[in-house]
Amino acid sequence: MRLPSTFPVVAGQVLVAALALMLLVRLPGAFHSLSDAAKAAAGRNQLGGALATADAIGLNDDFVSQAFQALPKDARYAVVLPKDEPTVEKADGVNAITFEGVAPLFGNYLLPRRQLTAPVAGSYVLCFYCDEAALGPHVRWLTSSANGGRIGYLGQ
Amino acid sequence: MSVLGVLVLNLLFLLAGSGVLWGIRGWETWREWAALGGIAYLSGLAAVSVVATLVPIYGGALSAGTILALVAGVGLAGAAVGVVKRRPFPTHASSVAPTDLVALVPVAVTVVLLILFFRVARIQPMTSWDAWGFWMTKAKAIYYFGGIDTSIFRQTWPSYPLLVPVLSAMNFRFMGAADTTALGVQWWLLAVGLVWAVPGLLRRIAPPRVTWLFLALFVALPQFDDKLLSRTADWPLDIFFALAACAALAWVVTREAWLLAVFGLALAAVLVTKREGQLLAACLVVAALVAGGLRRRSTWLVVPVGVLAYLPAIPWRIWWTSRHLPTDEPPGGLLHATFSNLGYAPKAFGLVARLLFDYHLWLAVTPLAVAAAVLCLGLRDRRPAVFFLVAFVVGFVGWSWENWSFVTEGFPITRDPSLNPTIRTVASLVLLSIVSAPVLLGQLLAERATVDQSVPLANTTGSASASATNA
Repeated sequence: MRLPSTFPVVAGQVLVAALALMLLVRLPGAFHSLSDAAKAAAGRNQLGGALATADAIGLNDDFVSQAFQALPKDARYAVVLPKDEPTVEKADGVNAITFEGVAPLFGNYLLPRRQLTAPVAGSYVLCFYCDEAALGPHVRWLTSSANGGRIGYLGQ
Repeated sequence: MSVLGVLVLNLLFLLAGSGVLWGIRGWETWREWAALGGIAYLSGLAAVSVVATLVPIYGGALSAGTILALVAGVGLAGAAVGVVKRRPFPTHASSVAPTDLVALVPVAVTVVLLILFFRVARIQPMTSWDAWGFWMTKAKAIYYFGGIDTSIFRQTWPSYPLLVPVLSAMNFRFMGAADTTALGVQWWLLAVGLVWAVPGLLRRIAPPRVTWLFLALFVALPQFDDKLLSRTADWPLDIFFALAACAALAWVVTREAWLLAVFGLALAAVLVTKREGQLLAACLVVAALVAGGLRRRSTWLVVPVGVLAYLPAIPWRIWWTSRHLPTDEPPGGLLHATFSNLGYAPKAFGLVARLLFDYHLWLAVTPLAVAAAVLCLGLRDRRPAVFFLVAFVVGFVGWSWENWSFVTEGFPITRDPSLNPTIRTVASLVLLSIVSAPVLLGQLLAERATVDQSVPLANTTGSASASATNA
């Protein structure tokens, strides 16, 4: 069965008109969205990106900034979390997503510093609500606690 | 300085791709080079990046010298083919190109939006979870440590292939720093490349003014800036897929052999960008087979091209499986999960449909393309409609299958983008619609010429729409 000869042309014209209308309606929103995004991003640097990400997962900005400053570029470090995360989540109002995101966040933004699965002698410790006593007496704490985050160095 | 490095690297991709395109088709005029330059750029980027993924796998470092050697190798390989095939060198065109003033309006809109988008791409820092969680961690590791550091790759979804980390690491090398903020310009250039390539690929089979309307809509999509700046592999995958789809559709209609080479290069890039590329590759190969006609022997050429395109993906698979690195396959394997989770299929289909047809995400691009394709099924030449509908249906079922077979407590069937990636994956079908719809609408509009002339249109360049466009 074939369509009436003029039907496809009319249908095509209607679709093109709908397309043009859709574009016209969308354009002001597209211009505004791109302008707003440019304004929001202005002035941010690499650390700014890390801090924005930290905000998004509920990690304290000071802890992230201090990690950038305290760890030399060739440092090795481990992110240490509490053994019982659900208890800390309830007691201190920490989101599960914060615990989930803290190691990969530092794992990216702190490169080329190398992340270890556990602290070893000569490495830094990024303690986030961790049991500080369990790390032993050889840890020299370099910062005070910032919303559960504290940086230390595990000596020989 | 960082942005300059990105631009220089991408200029090298354009040069390498120009050599490739000269080898597979030749350049008649400089005007033709300008019209097809987007295809050259994306082909060069795809070819160099695909080969570059093999360097760290085999223990090499992506130094500046290695990158330059890869670019030269790809460009010169194309040029060598050109010499053997006696391809013509471009000359100055003797006539002035006719200007379609109506088409200039969507062209201007597209260019202005892309310029605005550049302002964001240049300065917006990376904040997407998947980007800092693993894509850019891998890229930085390759840049800083000179290869694949197993201790890092073990933690960062090792089964995902390497194109995006390697492309990013090459950018870092040319920037002189791992500047993930400036890397946004690379993602912006991928979008520019597609916008430049599509009119070239469709120039014989779709009216330019309709093509540019769709491209203007592409850069105005509500999800455009949000997704394209995430520095993840989703949009590069979609852009390579759209390029491959466009080349395959143009080949089905015109049978120009060089299009098959572009299809193969884009498909190879799709397959080493994300694991999901296998599904998208299958969509296009099946669609080209069905639309091209199973009885025509030449149609089956897409199968060896698909097989060749898959070859560069094999070394990475061997690399991570031989080291017993973790995979995220569902318990019991994919086949078992496909049938044991079949009860979730209706919910999965519903999710894909809701996200794909959500006006606030993608406007009405897809419904419009589907409507045009259905109407085109009533025309004499059904190849573009069949190509689009087959690719679309296979893709739709595929993304739904991914949802129901992988469903777990941690991967629920939900609209929440932090828990389920379908809001990103359906973009491939939106881009398929954007590159196919101009051909379909062109066919419908070309029926006017058929009615006016009262004679069937010649099929020498492939389709009715082509004749109408050239009229």
